[in-house]
Amino acid sequence: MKRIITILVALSAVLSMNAQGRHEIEVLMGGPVSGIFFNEGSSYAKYDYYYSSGNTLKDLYEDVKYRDSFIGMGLVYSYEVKSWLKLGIDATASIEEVTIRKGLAYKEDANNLYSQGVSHFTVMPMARIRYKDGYKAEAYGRIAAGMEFITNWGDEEQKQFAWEVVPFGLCFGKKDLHFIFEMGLGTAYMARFGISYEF
Amino acid sequence: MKRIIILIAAVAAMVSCDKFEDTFGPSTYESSTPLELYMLSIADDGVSVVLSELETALQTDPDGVIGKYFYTNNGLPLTADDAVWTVNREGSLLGTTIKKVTGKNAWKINYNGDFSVEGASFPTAFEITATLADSEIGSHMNWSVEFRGTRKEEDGYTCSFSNAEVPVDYKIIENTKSWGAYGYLLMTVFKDSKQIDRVLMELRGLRSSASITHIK
Repeated sequence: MKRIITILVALSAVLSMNAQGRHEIEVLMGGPVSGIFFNEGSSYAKYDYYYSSGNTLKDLYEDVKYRDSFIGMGLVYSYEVKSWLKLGIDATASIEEVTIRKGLAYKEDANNLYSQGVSHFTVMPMARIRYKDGYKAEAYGRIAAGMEFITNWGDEEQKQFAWEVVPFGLCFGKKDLHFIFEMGLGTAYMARFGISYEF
Repeated sequence: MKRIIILIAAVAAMVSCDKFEDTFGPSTYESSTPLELYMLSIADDGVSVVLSELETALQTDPDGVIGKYFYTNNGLPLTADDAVWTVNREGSLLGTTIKKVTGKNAWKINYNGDFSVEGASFPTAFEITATLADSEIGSHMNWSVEFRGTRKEEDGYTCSFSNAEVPVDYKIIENTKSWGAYGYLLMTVFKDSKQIDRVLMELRGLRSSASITHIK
């Protein structure tokens, strides 16, 4: 319910503006590159643990999480406020597969790894800025900030601040239908691609 | 009919033998867990490094070049009662003191510094009393060792370790020039001063044959 209210508030804020621009819907796929912004180990480190005698007590006794896979779907609505500026809302839903290496305080054997599914839902008010509009192509950037709702399957939902900066995105196509590719930094994704429709 | 009964009996005997081997026979492959490797780095590597230093010092003339520049000593050979030597050489054992135990063929060694084992280096302090089991001094002799120490690591983790009240024997492994440790190592692990684990390791010579038990 909170999620719906958040979306509605953000949407109404965008639509209440007086500008006479066009609406745009984007459908995107993507996710973050494993572990870079989450201080998690690499998949190699997960297995090094068993063959190294250089482990510290922290290595031995604390749980460590490793991200194995992450795939997300994004739905972005925006409204053209100025020829160079679009405001809107970016909603991303994603599923993450995480391997957790349990510390020895719980179990001491070579099989103390288990996998867990984690779902993420991110809602962020967003601004998209056009850098250059060329023949059939547009270069743009994007900034967004909002909330991320995280659910470990079977556990209680957690919330955290979410942010995203896209320094470079490319949009190309004919008339109202475009293909999109963008590279970003933040909590939701690092690379996304998809299609957009303007009306 | 007889043949069938004999055949069945033979198969049953073979199966039961295999079962017996699986249950009670020696395991063909033994691997060390990360915690075993960690404890072995104390019992095997840490103590044996100190024993090697002791053996070197025992064979060193206090007035010779090595005795003067690698050690600070009170002029007495380490075999003499009241001898006190301090390692003066750059390295992991810098500052380690060795004292002869009066009237015994034993030495007390105190170490306090950043002991580095397998790439990890953290403040470690330990006291070792090493009693020589051999009559002549040389390299890689047989020792009976009592030790206790502490190690402070990152994020509030510390551990204390000792020989669990039974001296650990360091003996040369047959046909090699390295020691095998025989006895027990008791390690208690703390996180932010709260005990989180207590582990007893049985040392049976070869590194791969050590085993651990968690004690609640």
